[in-house]
Order: sequence, then structure tokens, then C-alpha cells
Amino acid sequence: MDVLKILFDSIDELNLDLDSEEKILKDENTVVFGENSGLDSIGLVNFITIIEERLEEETGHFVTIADERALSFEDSPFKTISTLRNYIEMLLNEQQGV
Amino acid sequence: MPQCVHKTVPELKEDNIDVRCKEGKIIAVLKPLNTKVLSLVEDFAAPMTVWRNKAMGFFKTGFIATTERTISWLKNSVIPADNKLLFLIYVEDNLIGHFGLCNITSESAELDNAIRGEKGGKSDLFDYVENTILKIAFDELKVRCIYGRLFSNNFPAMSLHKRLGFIENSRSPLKLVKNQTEWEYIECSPEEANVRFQYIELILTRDNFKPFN
Repeated sequence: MDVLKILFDSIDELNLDLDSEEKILKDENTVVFGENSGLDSIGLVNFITIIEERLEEETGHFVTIADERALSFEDSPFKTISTLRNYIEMLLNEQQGV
Repeated sequence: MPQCVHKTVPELKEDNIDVRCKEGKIIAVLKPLNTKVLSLVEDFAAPMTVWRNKAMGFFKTGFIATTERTISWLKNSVIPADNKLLFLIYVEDNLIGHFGLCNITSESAELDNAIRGEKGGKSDLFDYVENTILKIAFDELKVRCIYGRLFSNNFPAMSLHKRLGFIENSRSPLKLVKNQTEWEYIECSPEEANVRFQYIELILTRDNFKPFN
């Protein structure tokens, strides 16, 4: 599964609701969470919800991205699109027993 | 270390409070809503209404906010209340949001109505706003514990609360009940749940508090 495509498609969907100056870039280095993120809390939660819905469409299973475990990492998996992709791939591999 | 004196809610509604970053610089000012600002309520009710509607998905009870409804809530439920504090957050004289405490008793308080409505100030401004409000609760109201109640999908808030020392106290499944103009997330059994996220109660005691400054 192309997780990066899912993330970029999710960005497209999120950007539909954002003003032009707030739209986020489809780039692996885009900061999602923390300093220099262009998203506020509401945008972040909406973004994660969109990703979870798209992953469910692709896999047929609901994958919770933002949970206790994700928050327990010293380096947040939500920091950039790239770290988020790595984290989601890890979750999917675990789900498939890889 | 200066000895902190116990203050009451009405006393805390009297004065502005500085929010300082780790280095001690003032990064925002908290202005309490009190009877002195009654005549100004209509000025800030309009932006607050916009913010409330935008953030309504984070609240357990939802409705379409209107300026009139916000004014009524401020005048009747917030300003006169002796168990509630709501601070407007100003960065360089610009109103950017609000944050408060509710259900204040001699024993405990609850974080309430945290909304960053506008951009402005440091990206971690709200970290220090919450830090300041927790210090007020522990050092001046002298409560023993502070509760935070939020949806489990609100991970930015959850992350902040946990960094400040909150721990999870309970977690409940939720059922969304809607009518035409209002909606409510009701705590329910796992079988009745119809949304993916849960309602979480966090608790912070004085001993667990990890202030940022």
C-alpha cells in the first residue's frame, strides 16, 4: 500500500477546507505537529481523522493513529509527513503480522 | 521562594496575569472576564462565537453558537460565577483565544474552554498558557487536583496535558445523539457506542505537576 499517496490525498481533502494561505504542502518534510506546523489543533485532528478514514477504505480495518502509544514516543510520529508515514507503515505491518 | 497566598475566584478575576515562557519573557497576558468588562462583552463575543463554532467538535455538547448566545453565556454564566474563571488571551494587545477553569471548589478545578482562535505569538504559546493556569489553580486557589476532560482524538491537547503531568483517570465510550440544531456525546456502554473516540478524564495532582517554568 502506498501510504504516502494516502497522506497526500488526505492533504488534498484537508486543504479543501483551508484558506489559501493556510493550505499545507504535499511534501514529506511538511511539519504536521509542533513548532512550524501550519495546522492548528482542529486542523490536526481533522487531518488524522481523514487519514484514518482513508486507511479504513484501503484496508477494510480501522487503524487508530493517534492513541496512547503514539503519544508515548519521545520523537512524535506526527512531527512530519515522513515520520507519520513511517509510523503508519509500522502500524499496518503490525496489523498484518509482519 | 515566596509564600503564595490563597486567593478566591472573585479575587483572581480582578487582575491580569502574565504568561511567561521558559526564559521568563512575557509572551501573553491573561485578562479575566469580570464585571469591569461587562460593557465590552459585545466586542469580543463576535470573534468568540466564530471560534466556538469552529471548535464545537471538541465539546461534549454542541450547538450553533450565535453572538447573542455567546453574550448571554458570558453575562449570565461566566462573569458572575464564583466557581468559574475564563481568561481572554492577548498577545501584544491582540485577542487570540481563551482558556479557563470551571467547577472550582476548595479541593479541585477543571480545565475549561481552551480555544486558540487566531494565529499569533509563539507556536507553543498554549503550552505556557495552560502551565500558567495550572500554577494559578495550585498556588493561588490551592486546589489539590485538576481535571481535564476531552475526547481521545484530541491528541494535541492530550499531548500537552500529559507533558504537564496529567494521567488518565477514566475512559468512556460515547454515543452521539443529534437533533436538528444541537448534539450531544453521551457516555455509554461499549455496545452502544457509535463514534470511534472516547471521553477521557485526566487528573493532575500537585505532586505530579511538571511545570514548564
